[in-house]
Amino acid sequence: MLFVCLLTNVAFAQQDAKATFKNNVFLELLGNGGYASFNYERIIFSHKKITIFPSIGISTFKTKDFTGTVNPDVIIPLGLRMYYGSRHMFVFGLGQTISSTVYLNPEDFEAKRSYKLSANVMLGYRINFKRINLQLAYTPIFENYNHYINWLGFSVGYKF
Amino acid sequence: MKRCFFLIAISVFACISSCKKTNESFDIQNMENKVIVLGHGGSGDLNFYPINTYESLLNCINSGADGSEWDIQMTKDSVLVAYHDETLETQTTGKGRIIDYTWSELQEFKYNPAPYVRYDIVSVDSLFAHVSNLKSLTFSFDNKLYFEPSSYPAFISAVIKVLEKYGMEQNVFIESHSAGFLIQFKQLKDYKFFLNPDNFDDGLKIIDSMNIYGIIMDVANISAAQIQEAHSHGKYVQVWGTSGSGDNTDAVKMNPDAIQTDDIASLVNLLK
Repeated sequence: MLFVCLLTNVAFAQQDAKATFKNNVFLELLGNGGYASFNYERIIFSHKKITIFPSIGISTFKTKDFTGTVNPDVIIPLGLRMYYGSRHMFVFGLGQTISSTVYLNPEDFEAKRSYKLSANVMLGYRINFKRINLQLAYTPIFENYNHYINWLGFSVGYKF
Repeated sequence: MKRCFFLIAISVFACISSCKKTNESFDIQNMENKVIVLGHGGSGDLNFYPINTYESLLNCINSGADGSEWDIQMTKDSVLVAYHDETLETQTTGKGRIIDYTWSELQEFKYNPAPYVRYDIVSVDSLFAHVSNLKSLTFSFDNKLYFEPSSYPAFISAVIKVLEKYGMEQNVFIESHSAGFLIQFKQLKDYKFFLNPDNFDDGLKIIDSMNIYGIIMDVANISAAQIQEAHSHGKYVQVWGTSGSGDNTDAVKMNPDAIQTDDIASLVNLLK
């Protein structure tokens, strides 16, 4: 619900007119999406050196299951990220990852889906060029809220 | 300019497509003039699924392989499970050795190759019970003897029990680095045993003297001439360690009787 509010800019009215590019798409290796994810983020608040982006991504580990049927794993990382800085930025983010992955149920040997909600955190550094940005972050995952995984993420983004 | 790039791209794509290697035909000359295609621990190290999981093994079978190699260990209550490493922490959420847990306890632990996914540890019995075309498949049990030799009789007994339960005695190769283990096993049953020796010459002498079915070696440590020599002694040869189309092609040309590969699709494609 909080997310919807953020996305629709209801919570934040103040915008910084200096923010030229409001959107950023980025490919993240490892990170909150698992192995690799394609993500979109949009500025919803910008004031002085603080910028806030909500982000949404999509990722998969494989598109076919063990029977050879198209049955992809789906991982959707959602996050709210706060950046501090201009060209060199520090990032702190919190979010949730929704995952639906395929496994074999040993009871009947059929393909089944496992749905999980996991927490993700992001703490890192971003450097901005004119349209390109690079980011390296510590992105631990609290899988299913019962298993902590140390994880890193590296991303390349394009602003527009 | 854009049109020029577009035409170049189309030309390169067309060239690559036309140059794509077509299936080679091989003159297989081994013990049965065919090569058995086995996955390495299922779908191999290069697949997303961890080796020896149900998903990896079934993915291998569904990819057209003749069967698969598995790494076999035994629980405290004599249940055979498929697991490669000596300890659980290297691949799963568990800790310690397989032999220190009962099957019921072991089922609590999961493979966790990446965030958000968990896979179960496999029991041989449950996989055999659920594979519909089991008798048409070939498996190679790589017996991981991470326990005291005093437990060999219980392990051997567990293997015999599960193979006889499913009538798989002639469909399963029994591999080991330990000649002593194979001798002990052979005194009870004359299955298709494969010795995994340190070097070919010593291995051939041992399997000759023990009347063992065959030899298994890393493809990098055996030559086509040595495979031919083993065949001249009436011995079968398995090789492992191929992980791409080139590797598989080279291995097939050496005329082994079975290849355990990390790239099933390419080997199936080469031999179909």
